[in-house]
Amino acid sequence: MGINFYDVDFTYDVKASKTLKNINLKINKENEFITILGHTGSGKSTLVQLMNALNLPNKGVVEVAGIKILPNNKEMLKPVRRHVGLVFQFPEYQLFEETVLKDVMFGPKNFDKNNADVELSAKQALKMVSLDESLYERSPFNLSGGQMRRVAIAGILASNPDILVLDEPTVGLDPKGKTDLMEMLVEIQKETNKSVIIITHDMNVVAKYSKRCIVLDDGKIVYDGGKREMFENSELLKNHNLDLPDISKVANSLKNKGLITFEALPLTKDELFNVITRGDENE
Amino acid sequence: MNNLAFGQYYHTNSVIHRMDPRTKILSSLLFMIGLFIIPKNNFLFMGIFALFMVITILLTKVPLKKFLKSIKFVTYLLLFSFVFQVLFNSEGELLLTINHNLTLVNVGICLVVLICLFLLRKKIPLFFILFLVVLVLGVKFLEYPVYGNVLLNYDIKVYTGGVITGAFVISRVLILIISSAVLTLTTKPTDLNNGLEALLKPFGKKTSILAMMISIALRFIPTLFLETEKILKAQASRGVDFNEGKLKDKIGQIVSLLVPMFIISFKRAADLADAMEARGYVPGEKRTKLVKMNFTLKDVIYLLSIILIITIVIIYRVI
Repeated sequence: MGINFYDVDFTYDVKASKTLKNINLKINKENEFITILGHTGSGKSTLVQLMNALNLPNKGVVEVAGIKILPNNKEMLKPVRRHVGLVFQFPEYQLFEETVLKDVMFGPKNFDKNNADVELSAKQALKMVSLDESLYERSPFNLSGGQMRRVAIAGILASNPDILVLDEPTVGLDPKGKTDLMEMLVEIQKETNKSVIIITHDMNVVAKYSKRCIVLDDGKIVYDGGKREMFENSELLKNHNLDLPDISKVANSLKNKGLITFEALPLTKDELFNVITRGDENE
Repeated sequence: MNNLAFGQYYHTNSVIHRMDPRTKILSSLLFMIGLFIIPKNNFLFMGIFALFMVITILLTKVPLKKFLKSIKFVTYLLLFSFVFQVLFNSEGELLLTINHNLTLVNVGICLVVLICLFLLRKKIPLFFILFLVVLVLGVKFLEYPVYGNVLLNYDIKVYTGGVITGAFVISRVLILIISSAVLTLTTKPTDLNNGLEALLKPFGKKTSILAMMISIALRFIPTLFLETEKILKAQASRGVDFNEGKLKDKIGQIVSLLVPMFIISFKRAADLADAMEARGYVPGEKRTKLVKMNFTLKDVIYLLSIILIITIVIIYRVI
């Protein structure tokens, strides 16, 4: 199950060059925390829209939860969208209902006509994004940017997708909002075991949260694997306009000054802390 | 969807393209006025106007297909006005008489054929020509009482005057449409807008605001189009299927698209207003232009030749 890509090509305009070329990918239904990297125009957003049948492949097959999405096949797309919840960039713009609760209920209502448990699942989703209950009956347009984004994410979570895909979820949030949102996603992932896929440009996010990284360049997957291998491969970083996380940069410059030594590049605060304190013990 | 074209500008960088937009607007205006002061059924002057248009079309280097496309919209109007003239104009000599014997059967057959044609209109290439052929055959067919009692018997008399006036009216409308197509095919919407603004200047200060509004509206159509597509996708991933559902669901689906679009447009409008104010835009105030419009020799020649033609027409009419 999960999502499988078999030799997928995609293009928006038949006359133009391909946006995605020969994509082969396997994403499990559970326990993944994937970050998709790559510079602007490398095809990241297109790739995630293929996962949820908003784009149909021009060639090859995308298989979502056993449902095959073929070129020009416009049937059976709704169940696919139920399996894979896609949160767009700036999702706050998709809000439109009178109250927060109603807006979150919109998705599940569309997927399931018998709306007995819709309100329940909406409330659960709102709880997951830790939005205060006093806001449920407020208009979504009177909330702050961060709150609106939570409501929008809850709107996707409420339909209970197996896999959650987010297109740059932290863009435009303040540092605290960013951390809160990411912690929330980690929490959701741990609690429900759902796979989470995130598009991001923020290497700190990658270093801290990601389990698996997929790097796209010019419509091709150029790397698919663990973050540590990726960050230690300086050739790869340089060739595809990637960067090191801030902590690793600090660690590298400390190493260059001869202050610390390490075998494995520290990626997080804790790892660097460990390296520094171990150094103290050695002296 | 990025390359969504507005107006129908076709770039070739010809002489006509490089002409001052003011000239082009003014000359097409004069040309249209000229078309309507040609004396009735005077094919000599119509020929001169047509010749002028043909020369202009050749100068633009725009493929002929583009012009034909602009005529496409009015083909039925032209046909209608021609038939109207032929049926009701009784000047000149009698050309031919068509005797119609209507029975239930032959009227029925004609209706069935028409309905079939109407249903298949999207699938047949060169539909208009087929339609013409069927029309002529139908008119002929109605002469014979196929079966049953004759319900109605009447004569259609066609006079030479009707045919001539019909042809005159058609050529006038054709040239009119093509002359406006020349303007829109060879002038960018922004240039058109600038030209219009310059031409309207003598009529008051506020006209520049109008021109600014038009150009902003034109500029933001593709942007809003992209935005709509985004919202459409976002709602689709929330299970909205814009192709199915009952009327009640449909309304809900459209609301889910319209509300975000309104919010985005208002937000964009407010942002744009701030940005314009921050860069010193004062409505109605005098502004300098990045591209100065130049009135050159080719403009003078083009405009003068049109004025010449019109003057001849006027003199002819007065005398």
